[in-house]
Amino acid sequence: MILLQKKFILLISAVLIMLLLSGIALGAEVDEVTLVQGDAYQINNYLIDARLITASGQTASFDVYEREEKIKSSMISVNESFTFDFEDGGEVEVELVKVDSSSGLLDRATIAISISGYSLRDLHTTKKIPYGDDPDFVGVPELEITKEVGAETVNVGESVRITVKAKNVGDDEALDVRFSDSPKRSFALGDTILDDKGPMFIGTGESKTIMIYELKPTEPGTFTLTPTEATFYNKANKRFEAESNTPTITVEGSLQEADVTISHSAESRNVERNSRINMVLNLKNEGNTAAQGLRVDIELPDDIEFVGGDDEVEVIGGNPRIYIESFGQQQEKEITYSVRPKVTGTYSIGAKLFYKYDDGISTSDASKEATVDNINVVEAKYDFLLELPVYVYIVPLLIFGAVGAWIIHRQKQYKF
Amino acid sequence: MLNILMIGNGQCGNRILDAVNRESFGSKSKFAKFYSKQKFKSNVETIAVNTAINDLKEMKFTKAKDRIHIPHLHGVGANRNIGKKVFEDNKEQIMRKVEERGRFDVAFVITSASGGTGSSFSPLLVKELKERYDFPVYSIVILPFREEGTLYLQNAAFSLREIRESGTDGIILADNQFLKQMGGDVQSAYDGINSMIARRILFLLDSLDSEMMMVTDLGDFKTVMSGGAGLATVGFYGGDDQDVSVKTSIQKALSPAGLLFSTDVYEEASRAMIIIKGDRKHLNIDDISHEVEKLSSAIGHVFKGIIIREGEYPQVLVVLTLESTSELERMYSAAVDAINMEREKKSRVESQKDMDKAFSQIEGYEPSY
Ligand SMILES: Nc1nc2c(ncn2[C@@H]2O[C@H](COP(=O)(O)OP(=O)(O)O)[C@@H](O)[C@H]2O)c(=O)[nH]1
Ligand SMILES: [Mg+2]
Repeated sequence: MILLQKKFILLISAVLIMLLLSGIALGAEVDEVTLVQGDAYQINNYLIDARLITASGQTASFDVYEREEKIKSSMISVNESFTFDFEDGGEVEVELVKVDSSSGLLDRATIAISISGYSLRDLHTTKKIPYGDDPDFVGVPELEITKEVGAETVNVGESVRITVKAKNVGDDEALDVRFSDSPKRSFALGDTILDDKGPMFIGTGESKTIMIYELKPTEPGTFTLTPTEATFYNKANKRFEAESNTPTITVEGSLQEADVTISHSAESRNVERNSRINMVLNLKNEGNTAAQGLRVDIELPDDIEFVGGDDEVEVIGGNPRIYIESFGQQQEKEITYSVRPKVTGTYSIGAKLFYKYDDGISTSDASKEATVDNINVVEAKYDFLLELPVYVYIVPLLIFGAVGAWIIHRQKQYKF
Repeated sequence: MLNILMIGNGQCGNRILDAVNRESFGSKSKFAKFYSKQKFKSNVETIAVNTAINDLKEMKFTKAKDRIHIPHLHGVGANRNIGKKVFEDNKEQIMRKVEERGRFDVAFVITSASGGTGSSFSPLLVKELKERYDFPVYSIVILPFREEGTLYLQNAAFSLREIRESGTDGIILADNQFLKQMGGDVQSAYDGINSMIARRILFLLDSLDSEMMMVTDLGDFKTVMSGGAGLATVGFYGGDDQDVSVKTSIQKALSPAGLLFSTDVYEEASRAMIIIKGDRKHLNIDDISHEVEKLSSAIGHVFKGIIIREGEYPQVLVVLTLESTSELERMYSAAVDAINMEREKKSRVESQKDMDKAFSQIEGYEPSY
């Protein structure tokens, strides 16, 4: 029971707090102002225009304009109010507080203006516009950014000029305009002729050239450029954004490439332990440019020892390696080397190829691999002999020696 | 086990000695000495003596230490007088070599009777051996081909007599002339004869040192050899892996084909020793007795010995001492003719010396013109 009571109290409290909050939301007081006929009150780009005020009738009628456009017309009595829709979903309430006559000229009305659904802080203009004055509205600047390409189709290695312009097509000036241009993939930045990313001011109808630069494609293909972006503000310090178009550039032709193929083979894959295996490496440059600094690292397992090879094969730090300074287009090379497995088993011998080449734009690296798998090393036919005890050798050797000694002895014995 | 000394003198003696050593390896291969062992039953010591170093070098199966070279330029030719002098000069050296070999039970001296070295060394060597030791010394003497000339015939006649007088315990004769039947060229005839002689010697040595079913031994051999005129020869048959009965084998050993010297066994032999070797199953005692009786009824006592060798066909060796020999008589009369011829030749040379006198008359004069 006590528990239920507690819950009930909490619920009541919550409801009360919500009512309180909604009360605030319902009407924040903007201003209380006394207008005579012909006066107006500007709240942002809205005008509350006092038209006919009759003290005798204790009424007043108002027209509401959003800029030049009348959006509402209302006649109310004292203590009555009317509302109109405000920007960004807000609602303005106008209450007629009193109507009286002034020093004999015109009747005057006092209105209380409150706003709901809109933060008071966002209001940039709240003022009385006396009869005969012009209201000063705040406009919306709008930037149209264009990104132009010098050519829609270029060849690899050719530059293309990019021009970025911005035009304020809005109805107000753009303040604190800043541009950003993100990096371009597949292109290298060439000469920059103009680069003015702001901050700047662009008046209404004004056009400015922001950037002029050259791009060099790094690969063939069809590429869409990323947009140039801008941020800017109007007088009322409202932030705006704009984006350029994204032109497409087709890059034709191809890059130069050194395409070195590598093949690696063993003369035989079934070998006896401690016998030689002759290995062959075939290199061929099937590309359209020379490979530079070509290197092949032969990767021998621990139990396989390097025996020797062609001149190109050098041993560096115990690892056989091939180095060729320059390997021209269509050049071919067969390099042989031999190894000797020390232990039985199945092995792979790898060869890793590395080289560089100039693709016409920059230096590229390439690497390839060619592995000879399943080299079966078996016991040599006479290997078992090695595993036999020493006497197996000693005994025949002794017999051999003894026979030899005996023959020599006999020869001496009978030599006169 | 017997200790046997065998000395070969001169080329002929050396070569027969070498044949004995070769046959003892039991193989016909010339490499036998590298893989085989000499199959002497006894302790056999062989010594080859020669003045001609080439004859010694020619030997293949006799150890180097067993070859004694007595230096004398180009040998001694066929001159026995030079030979005798060379022996006297080197006697001690030769005898020392013999002395070094230890004690012996029997010795054999092998020589040709007709050459220079062997024919002159052998009688003197036998004499030395007999003086210094008391083991029996037998001489194996090879007689020349009759057509070899007067000098050889003459040498043979004198040498044989000297050997007989040297104190030898017996002479076993082998006659090249008689063995000429071997055929072929001289060299292969020599090789054939040498092998024949060597095989008989080996058989003899073997039987002297074997356990025999019926006893013959060195003593019996001595008895046989001391009979007759001190001259003996041997007959042999078998050893060719042929299934010939023991009876036939004995007959063949006693026939001219089996003997080393031409003799009519039943007429001229005085004592005999017969040794039969072979598998028991081939040795029919009745047959053996029958053949031995046939021989003993003609010549008197025959010593016989039987050696059992499993799996072997019968082999028969007969040692015969001769009380007379018509063949030797013929040789000696031929030798006398030869000596006379040599004398005539010599007197012809003598008269040539008169010519020298005639020439010498002008000695010291100069022709005057
Ligand atoms: N059976 C046989 N007789 C030989 C052999 N060599 C030489 N004769 C004979 O021996 C005689 C010559 O004597 P030889 O031993 O050569 O002379 P030496 O070397 O001066 O003693 C000749 O009658 C030859 O026929 C041989 O190898 N075997
Ligand atoms: Mg000679």
